Amino acid sequence: LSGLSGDSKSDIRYHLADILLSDEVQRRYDRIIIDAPPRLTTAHVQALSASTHVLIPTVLDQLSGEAVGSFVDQLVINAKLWPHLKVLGVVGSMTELGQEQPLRDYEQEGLLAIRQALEQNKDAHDLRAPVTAPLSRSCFIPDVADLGRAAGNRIGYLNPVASGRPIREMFDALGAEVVRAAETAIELKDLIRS
Amino acid sequence: MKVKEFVCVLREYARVIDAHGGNDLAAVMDQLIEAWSPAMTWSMKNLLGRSGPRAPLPEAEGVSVRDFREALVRLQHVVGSIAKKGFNDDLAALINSLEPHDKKDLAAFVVACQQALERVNASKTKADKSSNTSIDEALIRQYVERLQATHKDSAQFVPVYEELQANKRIKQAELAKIASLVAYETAAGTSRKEALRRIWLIHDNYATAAAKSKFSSGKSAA
Repeated sequence: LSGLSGDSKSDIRYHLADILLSDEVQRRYDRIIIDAPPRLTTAHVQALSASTHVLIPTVLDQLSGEAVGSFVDQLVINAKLWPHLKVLGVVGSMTELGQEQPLRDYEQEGLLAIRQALEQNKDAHDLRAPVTAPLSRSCFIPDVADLGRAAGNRIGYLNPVASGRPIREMFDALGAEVVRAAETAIELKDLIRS
Repeated sequence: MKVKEFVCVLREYARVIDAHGGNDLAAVMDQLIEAWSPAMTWSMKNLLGRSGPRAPLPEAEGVSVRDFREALVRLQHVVGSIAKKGFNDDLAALINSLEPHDKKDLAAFVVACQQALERVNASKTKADKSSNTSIDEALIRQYVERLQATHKDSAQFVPVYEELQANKRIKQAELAKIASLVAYETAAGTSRKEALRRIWLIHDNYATAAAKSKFSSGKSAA
């Protein structure tokens, strides 16, 4: 609150970055993954300001597709806050079928809405290229009961008694795709024409 | 439910049966799944309607159709209360379809299913070939290019879309192919109305994103 009222001299947007870049945190962790809400709250702004990359998970339906477009708009509009941020891609979550099977029609429609929104974002902001694109379908995370049960209690990936679908394999496929995307992702500042 | 989804459960169940000494039954179940492979994208209902044995089958000496049916009934008891309705319905339909062949040899039943599917696929391929020859590829390409070039602008897109809609040379199969190329994968048998709706989406999605961006300055409602 002191940051918002102007009483504090430090910039509230970079408080998390200050902590994550401290010697103590840097010594203890190789990678830090922050789960942030889709709204641009103070916490979310802090998370983006502290991050090198951002991955956008979304349910694949029409409305969520449009929300991805709005979110990417915000990333571009506020790019001055995170000029070095790289957008890794959009990953579908809670898909009806497993990674090896085709998407349902309504999910393909959601994916189409995302592609069109990203194209519109590129045109609206006169970018050199779209900010990002959907990742490969083979890394989308299906709606799995074990994951749902783990939500809010523990990390599903670490659940040793997961039955049914191989949770670790699903997330490993996503991890491999994220690594590939990180190699080609472009910083936001390089997408914006000066 | 699609065959490929149904067999995921059946395959796992065969492993369970195998681990509990039902090696012979598990092996024939695997053969049945293999026999169904040309029909993986069909619905179970469609498969069961088309893959039934056409000729009389020999009586069982080893594993009978009844052994398989009873194994499926046990599966039904286990998963009945937790599985999706679609799965339960298809499992019940499969069990019912097996009952008339109870005393017959399961391996012979599998071979008969395989032959029935081969016959269906052979006639389908013939039909596909004759319908493919009638598809006007050049016309499709031309419309795809025009739709993609104009989809960001209503004033340009709508006339092309209306022309496509009214063009009598564009049949249902052509529309489905155009929808596949400009929107997303669309089955060849998709109706004209549905294919047109999908084609319209490429413009509608873009226009919606533009309107939302303009009036919300990019702010998410989420």
